[in-house]
Amino acid sequence: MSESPTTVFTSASGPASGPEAPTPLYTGVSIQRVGHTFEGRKGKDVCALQDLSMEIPSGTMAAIIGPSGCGKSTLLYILGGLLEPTEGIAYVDGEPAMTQDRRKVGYMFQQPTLLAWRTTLNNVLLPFEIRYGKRAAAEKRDEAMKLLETTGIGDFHHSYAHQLSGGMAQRAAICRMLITDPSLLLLDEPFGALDELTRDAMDEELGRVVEARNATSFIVTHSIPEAVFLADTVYVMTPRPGRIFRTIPIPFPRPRTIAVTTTSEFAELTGEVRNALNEAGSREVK
Amino acid sequence: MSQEDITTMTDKNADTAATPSVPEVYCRARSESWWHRIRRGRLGTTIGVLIFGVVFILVWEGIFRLEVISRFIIPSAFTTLKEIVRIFGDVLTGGSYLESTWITIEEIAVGFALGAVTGILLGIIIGETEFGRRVLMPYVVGFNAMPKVAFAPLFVAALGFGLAPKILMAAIIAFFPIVVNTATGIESATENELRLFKAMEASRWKTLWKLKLPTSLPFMFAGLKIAAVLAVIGAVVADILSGGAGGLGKAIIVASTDLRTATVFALIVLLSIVGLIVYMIVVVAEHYIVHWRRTSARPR
Repeated sequence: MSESPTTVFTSASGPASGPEAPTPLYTGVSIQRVGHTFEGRKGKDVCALQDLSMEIPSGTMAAIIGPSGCGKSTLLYILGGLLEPTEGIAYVDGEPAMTQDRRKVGYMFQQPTLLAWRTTLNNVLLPFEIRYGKRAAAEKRDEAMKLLETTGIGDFHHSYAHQLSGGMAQRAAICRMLITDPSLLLLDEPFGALDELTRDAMDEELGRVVEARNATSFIVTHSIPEAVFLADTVYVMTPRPGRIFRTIPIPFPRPRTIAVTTTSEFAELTGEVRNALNEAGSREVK
Repeated sequence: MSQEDITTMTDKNADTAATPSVPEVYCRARSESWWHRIRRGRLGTTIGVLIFGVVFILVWEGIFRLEVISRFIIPSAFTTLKEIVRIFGDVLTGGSYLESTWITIEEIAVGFALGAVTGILLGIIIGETEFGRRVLMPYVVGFNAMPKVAFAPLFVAALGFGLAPKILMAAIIAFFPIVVNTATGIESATENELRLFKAMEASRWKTLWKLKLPTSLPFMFAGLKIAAVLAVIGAVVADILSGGAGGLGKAIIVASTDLRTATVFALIVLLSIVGLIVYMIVVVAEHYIVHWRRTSARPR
């Protein structure tokens, strides 16, 4: 393990949270017995998440893997503060997720969701433009260009979305997520729509950019190799209601390259995740 | 021609090599016969269109000569062509038809602009608000089902014999496709895009301005293109039905009561050209405003 959970990276974690909350000691994400039940029609409530607890230290990445409908996206909404859990509480850097500074949250979805009428550069600047206006966005131009260059699409800053390949569009989406310098990254199957080869390259890219920052990251994925390659801890979830079935730490040192995927240790770990997934799934089918 | 083709292609290649813009790969079979080139090229299209036009006119003249249909109903194709030349000459030299044409253009332009502005505004309200969607939309659907032309006598009674009733007719007919298309466009922002804006904590106003309005622009223009044609119909029908100050519709009535069928046809051609110009203005505006829809500017 390259980082122990007790490592504190940021000195100040913003204003201290309210007195009513047992504040976690370190920065990062602390999920305490979170559960969520959606109110269904005709009183048929759907329990999406049940009794979830995790501690993700700052600067590490957690991968959530599980069958579809296990409440993975619900968990991301809760962490982003877009949804209040019906049970338990999630803390982000010591603040309850609902009241955290949402400017510090970066999102990425399965679709790059670039706006067709904006150039790549202006798409990357969009979060700034929305929050602080055009002038503030213009000041961030150089920074955005630098980000585009580090992800290898600097030459395409003037291109429109339809002129980019799927991989390039997702690179732009990575830049858009990072431009606000978020301390919490929520990635909802970010490369699910890409082909295997592009996906490998994107995983390596994402790992590289995220490693260089001190953000806590959550990635929801359906790909076992992706989870093992990117994460410091893989959480295998059960089908609905989503619970943590197994926690698998991934000990590979960082920075990681795609070469790590050919090691026998990697194969062992993916096998372990696969087995856990099978067990978690079969337990549900009675 | 082939030489030119090859040079432009090599130019293109040199261009992409120098500046790493969007790479474009050209593949075209070089061993095509000249006949294939003409058939597939722009010249071939032009020749085809011309041949079809000539055949059409000859068949028309044949029908006239053989008196398949009464000569009062179908005029001679050649007479009609001569009439077209005469009327266009009249318009270009500032004759009496120029005045009628101007009146019609004014009716169409003002009516279309009025319909477009109100239509887009109402479309935004319907697409954006719950009130619009649930309360206003049924009325829009209901009014749209009405034969709007039937209102012409009422408009004349209310607004007199001037341009106003005709402008109103053009506006009302142009209005509906714009409303419906704009509303559809506003609602067509995807779930992902809305999530993104929510995550960025965009206000409702900013979401509308920076996401929903641009999304709806292509839809708006689809509506405007339909509306441009409809505005011409509205203006002419009102012209024909209401009498009074004469646009081209009035001129058509006068010519047809005189049984000058060729003139009627020529005026219809003139009207089509007016309509086409209005339509083309919208198309050109779309080309510049909805620039991102021009999928990769690839020359043919």
